[in-house]
Amino acid sequence: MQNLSSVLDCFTDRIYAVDEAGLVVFHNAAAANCAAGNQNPLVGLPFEKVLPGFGRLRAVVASVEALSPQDQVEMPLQSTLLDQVGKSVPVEVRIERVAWNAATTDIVICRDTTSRQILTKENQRLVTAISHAADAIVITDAQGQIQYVNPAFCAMTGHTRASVLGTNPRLLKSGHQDAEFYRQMWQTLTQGEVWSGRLVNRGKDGELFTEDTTISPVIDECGCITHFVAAKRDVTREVGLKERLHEAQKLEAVGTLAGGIAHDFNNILYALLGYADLALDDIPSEHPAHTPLQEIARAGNRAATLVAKMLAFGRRTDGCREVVSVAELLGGGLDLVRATLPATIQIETQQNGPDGRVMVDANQIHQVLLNLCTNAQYAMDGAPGVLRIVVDQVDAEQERSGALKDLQPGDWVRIRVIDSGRGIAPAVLDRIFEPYFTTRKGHEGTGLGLATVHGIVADHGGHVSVESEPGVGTEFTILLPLRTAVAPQAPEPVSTGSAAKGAQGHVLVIDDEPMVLNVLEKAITRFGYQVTGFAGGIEALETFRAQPDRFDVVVTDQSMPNITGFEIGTQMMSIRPGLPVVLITGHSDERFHEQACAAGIRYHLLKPISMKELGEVLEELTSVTTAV
Amino acid sequence: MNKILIVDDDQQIRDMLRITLEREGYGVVEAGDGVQALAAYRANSIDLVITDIVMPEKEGIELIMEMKSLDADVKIIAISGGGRINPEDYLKWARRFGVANTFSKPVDRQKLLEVVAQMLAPQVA
Repeated sequence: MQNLSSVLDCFTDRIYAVDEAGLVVFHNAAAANCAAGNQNPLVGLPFEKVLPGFGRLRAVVASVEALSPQDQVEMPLQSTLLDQVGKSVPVEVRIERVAWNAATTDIVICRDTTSRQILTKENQRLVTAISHAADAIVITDAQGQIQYVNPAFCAMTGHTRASVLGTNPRLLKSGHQDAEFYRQMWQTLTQGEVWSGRLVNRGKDGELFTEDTTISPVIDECGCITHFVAAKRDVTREVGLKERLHEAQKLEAVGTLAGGIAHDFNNILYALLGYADLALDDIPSEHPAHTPLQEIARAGNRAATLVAKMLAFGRRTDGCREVVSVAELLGGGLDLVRATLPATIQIETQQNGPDGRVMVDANQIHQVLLNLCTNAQYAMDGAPGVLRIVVDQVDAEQERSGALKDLQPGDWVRIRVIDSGRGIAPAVLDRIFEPYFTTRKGHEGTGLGLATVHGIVADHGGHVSVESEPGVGTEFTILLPLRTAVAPQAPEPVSTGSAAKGAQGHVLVIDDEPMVLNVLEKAITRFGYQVTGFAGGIEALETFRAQPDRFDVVVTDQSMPNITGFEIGTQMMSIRPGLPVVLITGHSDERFHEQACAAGIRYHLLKPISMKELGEVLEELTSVTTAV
Repeated sequence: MNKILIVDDDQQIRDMLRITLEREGYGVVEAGDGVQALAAYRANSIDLVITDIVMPEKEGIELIMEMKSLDADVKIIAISGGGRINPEDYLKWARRFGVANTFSKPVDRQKLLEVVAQMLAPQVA
């Protein structure tokens, strides 16, 4: 017995002998260790105090054995033991009924499962982490048969878990990688090394996607590969963005190159073509040199067309404009910006008020954002910084009080790009939108970034301005005209005249005298029309040229510097035949009146004009449904 | 005989324009930059100025502004090889300073001669 007791003391499991009364009659050292150093503290104690619920466990075992003596109760049973300080210890319990000194006795073996439970929980955590991971995880056996895929894998490939288990990952093969590629991959893996690379694979729907993949072999204690674990990240979007960025940079390079040579090249072409023309004058058409000279001129003209095309390519003027939401527009642009800027620059965006719609060439506006943001990055000198992009809506009245006094009436979306960089010195602030102006040293800057921004924004009928405080930062403000009143995507009406709107038309007013312009704007607004006023004819013409169908009637002063009202009217009518034009002159001149009528300007008002007369004329012109 | 002042820093283009205009019966005075052009304008009775925009010494835009301040009615045709961003950039500025007729290089000879003839035609008014 002593020997047996010594043997039992060698076990780390707690072993108890419990009599029919439920009292402990024996236990080993592992069980005693729980008992605060007392020699035999448990002997004689009710075992229920050690293992609460023991009676129930024993009853279960007894009833199963009674029903079917051949069957073993499925051991072990899970229970909880109380140690000597009352702490719960999770245990697996085995109960064997034996004869102990001729009395029926239960031998109870309790195995501490604390560490196993910790391991199980850890496993559960890992499984949860893997199944919630954004990266796709695939586990295969050594032969490459898929044993596990996480939900991200299903989302990335479109395959369900059930459909891929037991299959081979080659079901994703797109054919974009050749046999040599896979041979090298397997060579690395079978040597027990980790393989990383980029793959183009095909999803269930047939769509290609690009993934960055890391495959690790799992090696057992004998050094054999038992599994492969692959982690895949879908980088299709990033790759697309990088390609667009590269494209944008390539275009800028082409534009710069074309711009750089265009001036000199056009001069050379002009000389070449001019002299060819002169020679053709002197050489009669029957002369053998006549045709070759004509060919020289033809080749010269082809070269001139090519230069013009390269310039246009650089400027991307061929892009089409469409009505888009500002949030959508900026979302796309900021993706490009984020892909370009280092992570040290934090980009914060803020949208105040409702989202609006603008009519833009999205690529060009993305270029604007990119140029402003890369400038901001340069201004931050590589230090961590914050780049804020704040979007809101303003109306002309609000903005007129600010720096932009020449805004047309109407609502605008305002996009502000605010950096925490070193700021711009006041001395150079006025020049930053000039082409070729750069503060960057050597070949770092082309001096075209902000000039391009200015050009694109102006082409969209918008405004760009800048405020800066050295040492604090710079704020660029872009204003783009909102298209809230226009139904999204609605085709522009092909108008040859004004629609019947009563007092609802849009009147373009031009007068170089600000006071007169102000009075005219107020009066026409009071009549119920929408008014856009210009103090300069050139600007008015540019606006009209950009959006010829925006206006229903043009009212212009005749005598202005740079361009006369008559010239403005005739030029606008050549763009949009039938456009009603009202000319206001300071003197009565019958011949001029006849000339204006002949040019199609039917209304000719003399200063000082009566507002009543102007109102009647506008009413007549805007109520005409069809044009001449 | 109407006298035309040609301003261009490229000798080849000046020669070509001179021959072209002389063949049409115009008198021609040449200048290689803006400074020479102003001197030539003061020294001669010039009916029309055909000027390049991008030139050393004095740029075409500056020349146009100074000529306009000398003589508000001066007739000018501006010709440019184009800016880097947009071939129209400089010509747009020329138009802002009152130059009604502008051409991008290479210029169509026929169109240029038509505009020259039109600008030099006796005024109806």
